[in-house]
Amino acid sequence: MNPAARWRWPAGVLVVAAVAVALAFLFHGNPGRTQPRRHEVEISGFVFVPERLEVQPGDTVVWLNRDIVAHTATASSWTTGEIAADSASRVVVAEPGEYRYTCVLHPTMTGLLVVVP
Amino acid sequence: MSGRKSGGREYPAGRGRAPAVFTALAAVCVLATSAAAQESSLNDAQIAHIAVTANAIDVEIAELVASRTSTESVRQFASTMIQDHTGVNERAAALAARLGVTPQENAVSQQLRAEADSVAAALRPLRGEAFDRAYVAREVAYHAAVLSALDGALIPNTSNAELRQLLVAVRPAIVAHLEHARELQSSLSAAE
Repeated sequence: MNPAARWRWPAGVLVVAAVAVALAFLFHGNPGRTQPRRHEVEISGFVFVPERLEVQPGDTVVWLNRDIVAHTATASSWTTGEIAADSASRVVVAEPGEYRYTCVLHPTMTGLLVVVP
Repeated sequence: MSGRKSGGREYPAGRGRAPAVFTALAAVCVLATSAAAQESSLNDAQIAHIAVTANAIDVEIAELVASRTSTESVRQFASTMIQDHTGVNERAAALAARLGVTPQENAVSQQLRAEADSVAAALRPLRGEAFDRAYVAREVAYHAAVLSALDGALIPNTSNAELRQLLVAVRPAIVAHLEHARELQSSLSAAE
């Protein structure tokens, strides 16, 4: 290997590292923030499981309706709309806060979604 | 609406018919004991007929609501009853077809039908608050009776696993409807 080639190899590594760091900032913005995640809440026996779920802004929450009738998950600022039996619906909540939600069809069903910054 | 006074409180016209509704309610409660008494003689086809009849009746009674109430929470409850019980019966019909079972009329389902006709006749002339109170009281009693019949007679005596599974899946709906009806009843009482 000639001396010039030995010199170029470490420079290539630096370029790759710089690109990796740039991509990390591009997709994460804040280095302390994890990638958006997908969470599931199962509706079974007219209960939201888990009843309380903690997520981060931008995460996706999917409600899976295992019951034999339709349900909703409805808070003051968002709703899944009607989720038919054996179907699912998703919501992405951007604003941090505590969202108490209910099924508008069956108001005795309640859940809590906590969006932590 | 015109009214009459009783004990210093004015009641809306039509409230005098309430005793007829409560007589019919007493008949609802017969469902649980009747089904329990006949549990040993009920086969799956008969249990399926009782379940289908019970769902259909609650839909029919709920269909009386829209033209007789001005209370949004009562209207919403009735709408949920129509949607849920219709959905359950569609599943029951699909299951019966798949199993090749024809639901078989029997003494309990006949009694349910007679009771429903009596309740409907008592509810039909009522309007407004009088209707709300009578309808919601009926829903509380009806769902309590259906729950008791499910637990005491229908689920334990169903032989077919899929039919039993459907009845077990229906149970939380009946519990939720009962709780919802009780909450409505409390809110109507508080508003008096």
